[in-house]
Amino acid sequence: MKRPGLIVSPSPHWHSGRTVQGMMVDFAIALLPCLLAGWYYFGWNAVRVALLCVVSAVVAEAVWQKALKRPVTVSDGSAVVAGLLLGLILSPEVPGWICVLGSVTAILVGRQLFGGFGSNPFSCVLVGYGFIFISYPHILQSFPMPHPAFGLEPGGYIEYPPMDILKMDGIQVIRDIPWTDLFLGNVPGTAGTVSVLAVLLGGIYLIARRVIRWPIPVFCLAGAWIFAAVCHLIDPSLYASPTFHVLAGWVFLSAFFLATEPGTCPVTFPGMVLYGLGCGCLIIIIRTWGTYMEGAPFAVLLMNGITPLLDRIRPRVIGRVQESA
Amino acid sequence: MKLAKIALIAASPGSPPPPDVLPHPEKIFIPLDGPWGRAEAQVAPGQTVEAGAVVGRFQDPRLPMLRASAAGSVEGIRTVNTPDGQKAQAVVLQPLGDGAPASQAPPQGAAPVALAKALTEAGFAETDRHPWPFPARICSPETASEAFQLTDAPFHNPIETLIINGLDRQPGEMVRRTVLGHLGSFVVQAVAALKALSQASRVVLVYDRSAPPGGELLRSLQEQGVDCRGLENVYPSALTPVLVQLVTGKQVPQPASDPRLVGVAVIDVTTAWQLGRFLTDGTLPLEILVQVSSWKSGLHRLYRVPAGTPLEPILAAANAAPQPAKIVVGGPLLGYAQFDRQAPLVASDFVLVQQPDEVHTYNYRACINCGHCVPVCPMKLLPNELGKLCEYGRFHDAEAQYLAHCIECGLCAFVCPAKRPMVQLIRHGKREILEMRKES
Ligand code: SF4
Ligand code: SF4
Repeated sequence: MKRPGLIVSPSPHWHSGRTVQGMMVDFAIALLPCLLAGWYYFGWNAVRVALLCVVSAVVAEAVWQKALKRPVTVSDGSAVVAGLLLGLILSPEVPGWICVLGSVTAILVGRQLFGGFGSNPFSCVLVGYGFIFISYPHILQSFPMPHPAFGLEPGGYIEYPPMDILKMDGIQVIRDIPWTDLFLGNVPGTAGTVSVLAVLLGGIYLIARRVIRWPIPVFCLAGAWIFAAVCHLIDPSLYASPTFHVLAGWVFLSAFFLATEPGTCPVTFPGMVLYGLGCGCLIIIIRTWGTYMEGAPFAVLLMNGITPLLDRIRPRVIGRVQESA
Repeated sequence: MKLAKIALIAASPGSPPPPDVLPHPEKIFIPLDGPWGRAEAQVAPGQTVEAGAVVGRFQDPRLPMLRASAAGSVEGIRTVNTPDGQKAQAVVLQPLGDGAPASQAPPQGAAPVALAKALTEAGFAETDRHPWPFPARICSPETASEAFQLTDAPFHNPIETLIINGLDRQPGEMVRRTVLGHLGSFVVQAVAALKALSQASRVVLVYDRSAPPGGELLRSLQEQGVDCRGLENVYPSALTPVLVQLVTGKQVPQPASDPRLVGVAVIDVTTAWQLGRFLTDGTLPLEILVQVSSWKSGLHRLYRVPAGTPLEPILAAANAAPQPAKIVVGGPLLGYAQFDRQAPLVASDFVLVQQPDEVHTYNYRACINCGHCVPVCPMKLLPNELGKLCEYGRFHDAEAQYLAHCIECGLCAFVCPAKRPMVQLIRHGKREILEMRKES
């Protein structure tokens, strides 16, 4: 009897089962709370923006790869996640063409020009965002008031996102915003950035599933809080309280989702710590002394640029001969 | 030292069942080629040999004798495929009946030099990738120089700690747990000899904390002055450099990877079992312990068979899978995939049988720089960078980043979501560097 041949291959013969696709599914699941928060506060508009971004990101990737006769990698889901993330940082009021422009830039300029998912040095979502932000700042900066679908009363204390208030109206006004509103997201803003609670749920899920590693988000939050605390201690009448800074705006979303995009952040422990701290501090620096309302997108992009340097901080390799003498 | 935890498949909860003894196979192959070159055959075709008769002898008397693991008639000498994918000349034996395992009078007394020589005669051959077989490997400097004329580094280093490794090396393996669970009394018998040979000030037995050996065994070991330590069995804690660091805190210099350089010797509990048995009743180290597992069908079997038994009869007895897609000798992360069911097993080992849907395939796609491979590397390398450098042919840069320190544990490939062939890339790089050195 002739038996079928045996497969021969070098070790290892076993794999954890973790795939890029699986990671992206986890990312998408982790972003669901944000999407829900968007729907809850801003209605279907927020969902429409996110979906439009997802569709245009996927189409952009597929068309580009087809045109270049490259393998089409849409099925790995990375474009879906990039689109979704972009949709969540855009105001629910932006017109559709902004979504398309942003996603196409994110995917083509931010990612495909560098060789595809994981090879881009800068967060592709922020590249897309940065492009439309600089081109059409006025469109991107009109935000709807929150109208919770049920349960909560609309947070009626402010008419602009907390960061804009801080810049324009000064520190006295923001003192009146209840922290619970900031935590739950009951303020004007974008679907992904208003609700700390939603981001936290998704972020903890990602860490628990080991899709992202904890040092970046933790040290980013710590960096932002500590830096803001030092400023606040120096002159409380000039600098907002650290807890306000961390709860308001993009800090949480940046820490968990934007700063951790594969390929754009360091991979060693000391690198991640410095990168996280750097992101946190830069966010506050740009917010406090920069011209932009929100420092996070540019802080993360800047730190992306420093990542290759941070990756040079290596752990000490085990078994170097000099050490064992 | 912290190891990254990875999902482990528990072969079976608690301690494994006692191993079965299989009837002798139709044929036994005793390879003459091995890590020390080729031994000279001492038998001719047609000859009948006793169990334990010398069938091969190296020119260097410091190398172990090759002995017949069963009584039988010599069919001939021919080329076989060994489980590690090499070709070897081997003596082919047709066993006659199921005789008792080969034995001879155990050595009397424990004068280390005589003992070391007796063990070499008896055929003890555990190498653990070390150039010297087991008796030479764990000798104190005096014994090494007198019995084996080994005086240079690392043999002039006294042995401070002798580690008896009772941890299973890979996920799903239970060979060493079986020894401690069912054959442990022999391990106790080996301790005095190991101490005499090594003159180690400290003897440590490491066992799997999730399946501790019986209290009586631990007590008798402790009475002999053995420090028994239960470790959490997280791969790769049982690989020599990692184990040495976990137990003694010392880093084994790489790429030499010889624990002797830092005054540590490691012996496997399967060898300690054979040694204790030899010292008790003279049974030669010609019986081995083989585990056959199929994760898909949840099957785990352990057998005691004569050394040199080919895979085929063991697989048939286990009835693991009628049509396996892959047969791996040596475990899921370190093992060798077999193409020849007649490959003979010469040492205790773990055979994993995979069915078609269990076979892992690699992707040749770019690294996504996710960094998952970095925290799992036990040598604290950056596998992502090594993989890329080897892929793009930048071997010298890879070398400068300690490519040679990689112990090929396979964890980086295990976790890589892009399914990159990390270990293959690394091996390719190591090979290229070797070739470049040879040329220059
Ligand atoms: S195979 Fe080498 S590089 Fe990869 S994790 Fe193991 S030791 Fe590190
Ligand atoms: S796990 Fe794979 S994809 Fe991720 S950094 Fe390492 S080699 Fe690259």
